Amino acid sequence: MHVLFVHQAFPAQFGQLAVELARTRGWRCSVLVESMSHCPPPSPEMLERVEIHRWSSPRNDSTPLPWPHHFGAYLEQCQAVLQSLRSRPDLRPDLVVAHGGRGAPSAFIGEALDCPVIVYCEYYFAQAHADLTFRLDLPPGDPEVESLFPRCINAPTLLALTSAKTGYAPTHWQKQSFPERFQSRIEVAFDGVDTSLYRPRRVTRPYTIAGRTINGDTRLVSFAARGLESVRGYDLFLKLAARLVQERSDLLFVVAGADDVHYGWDSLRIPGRSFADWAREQSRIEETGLPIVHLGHVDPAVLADVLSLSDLHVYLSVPFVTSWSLFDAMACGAAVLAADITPVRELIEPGIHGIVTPLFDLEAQVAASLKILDDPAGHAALGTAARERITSSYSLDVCVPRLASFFERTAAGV
Amino acid sequence: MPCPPLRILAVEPAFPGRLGALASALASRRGCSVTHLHHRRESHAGAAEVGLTPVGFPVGGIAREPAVPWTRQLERGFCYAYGAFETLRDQPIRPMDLILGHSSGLGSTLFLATLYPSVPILQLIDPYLDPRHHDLADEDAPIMPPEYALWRRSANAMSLLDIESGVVPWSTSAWVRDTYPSEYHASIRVLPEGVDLRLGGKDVSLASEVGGRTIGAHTKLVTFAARSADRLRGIDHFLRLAHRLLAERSDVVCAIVGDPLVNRGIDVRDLGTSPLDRWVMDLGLDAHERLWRLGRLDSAELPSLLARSDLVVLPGRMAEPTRVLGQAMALGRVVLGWDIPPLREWIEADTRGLLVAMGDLDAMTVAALGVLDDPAAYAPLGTSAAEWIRAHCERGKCLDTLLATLPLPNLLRSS
Repeated sequence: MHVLFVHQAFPAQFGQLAVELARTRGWRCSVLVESMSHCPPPSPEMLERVEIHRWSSPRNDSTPLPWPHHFGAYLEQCQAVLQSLRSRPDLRPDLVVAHGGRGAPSAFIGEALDCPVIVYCEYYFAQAHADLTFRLDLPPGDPEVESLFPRCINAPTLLALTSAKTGYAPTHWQKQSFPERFQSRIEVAFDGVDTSLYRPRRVTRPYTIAGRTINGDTRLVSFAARGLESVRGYDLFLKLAARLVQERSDLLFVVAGADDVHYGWDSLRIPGRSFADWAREQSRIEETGLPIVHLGHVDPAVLADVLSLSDLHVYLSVPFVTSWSLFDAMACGAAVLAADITPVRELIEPGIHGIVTPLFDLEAQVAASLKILDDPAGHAALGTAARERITSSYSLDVCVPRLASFFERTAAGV
Repeated sequence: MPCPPLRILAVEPAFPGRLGALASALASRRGCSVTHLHHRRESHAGAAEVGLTPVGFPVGGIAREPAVPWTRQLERGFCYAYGAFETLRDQPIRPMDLILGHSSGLGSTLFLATLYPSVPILQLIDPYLDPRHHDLADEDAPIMPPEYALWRRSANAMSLLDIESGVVPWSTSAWVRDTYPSEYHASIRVLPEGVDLRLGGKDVSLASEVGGRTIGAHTKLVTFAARSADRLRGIDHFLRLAHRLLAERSDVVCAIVGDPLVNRGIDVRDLGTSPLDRWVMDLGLDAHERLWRLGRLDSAELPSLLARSDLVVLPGRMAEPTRVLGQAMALGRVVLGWDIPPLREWIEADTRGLLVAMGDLDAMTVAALGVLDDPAAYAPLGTSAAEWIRAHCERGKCLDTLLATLPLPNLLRSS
């Protein structure tokens, strides 16, 4: 079996999966990508086991495009992928697995290859009052863009879906974001957490990170997101941190993630500077001397250490693509405080696998956080159950066989 | 208490476009108050605009350019949709009970739900473009650059966005519905827009002359009529048929109605040109006195010409039929076309007209000559066609059915 994965970046969703399929099944796994990611970067094993082919971006500059140009740029990318496939007659897989979103140009693959195409259904954006438009509490950016762009943003996804044989979404929540008409064609199959990496690691204290020492009596509160942006609730985390530090003097807040914006309107709301910077100013963290460490993008092993050390992991995302960081934190056995939103409820049964509070209820978040921080040992069962939830339902060991079976059935035309 | 008139907004790139006639019927027959919002006014608006309040909208950005790369087609559509949005944002037309939309490959209602969140939008959809089949693609795809198929794949984006934006998708043809991916079939309502029997009934006089030419009493009139005399409507097929009929019978006149200028975006080979003259010359028909190229006729002349026709030929390619078909059938004319699904929805072969295998010009010639040789034997086809139109496609009934499918207050529905 030869599977070709198509994505804008590597490894993203497919790198680890490709390694596992190559390692455990002996499949030939190729990827066709535009660039190598740095969050996370490819592991040496990925570089060794996976054939990596590149397609060249038709755009030379990285200046952000106005949103009405996005679809045209997407089509040019689709054309670049097509040209790349046509120039490689040796690349004739039995199956293509392609990301179906705006950044992953898969709509024309069928013009070059006659094998089945599975589209990765990461998310279908809502037209209003959800995901990108959920944060009504923030300063308005450009109301017209916020109301009109969501009506256009799904064009690549629709084109990819209608061009593919079938699709899969990593969670039920993400599947349900898609129009009902497509849902019978979308399977739910999670990517898989590497539970040998993300596990309760025996990290001894004192532990030094970014020049800060974590002693045995330090309570560590963590937050992780690829970009420190509003959809992931970075500002809400800072508000919570600012309150918690008034109650306890032994706290250290550790943030993994960069001051990037990947989704939404933060650059319109806060022109000329990063949302993260704005959020830090709003929470006056410098003036108050908030004990916080920003790690930027970190190596997965470092993140696993931080999550394992965490007495509390905070996840305050809006209802959107469920973050890998939540899965990873649970896999590391961290006690999680999460926003009470549908995607979280799919993973966390409140009081069993973590604690949930309303996204905007700071008082409830403070109370729940303090309860955990006051008695980490008493709440260890949350982390244990979370770890068990991940290993039993979301680990690579569980997910890869499911995906492999799905791929085999699709390739066989079943 | 009298019902308040239904307040309707029709939005599409051109006026009268596809919606003009329907909107005009809603105004004149149902007393609706109809505003037609459009960017471009077509030269032949004519009777279709009766009872309508036309309002223009500007377009900006790339839509101002005469031609755009295929990759930016959707962006051009956004400019149209935004033009409509911007006009209504700045000059609100309220209250509104119903919005009719038609994007015509560009854009129309995509953003209007943000201004009229509770107003139902009935969106007339266009065929979903297969990269290599239907309309002109079967012939053009093999000889066009590879980008042709890519463009056709991507050109469906506006239709998909329209449908997913919460409109009620509507097609006048089951064939159009079936061009869409199967996931969409259940949500697309298939309802005919109806035939205006005032333009296709007993009151229509038979033309004795047209375009300054006299139609002799014994002339056998074979007519091709469409908005454009182009390949999609099969003008090339008709010319070849005419070439044979004119040679075979000295009493035949072949009349061509339609704009010779090709202005269909999907006809990328001939867009913006008038290939009719060239094709006529290629067949040696350029000086033929019995081949009448009439150009566009106004909405009163065309029914008279159709009523006088001994045979109306619809040799178009796989596409939604021209409205001329319904008119000709309503007038009891014998219609002859290719045996393709879109025509089969209207013509039951040998009962309501004649169908021959797609592209079989010999069979079409034989069928045409049969009708011309013995009109009486074929007259029942026209009679059946007219009865069927009256029973199933009378515009008033169709409008009622259409409105009944929409989430409108009952009081308004009956207006």
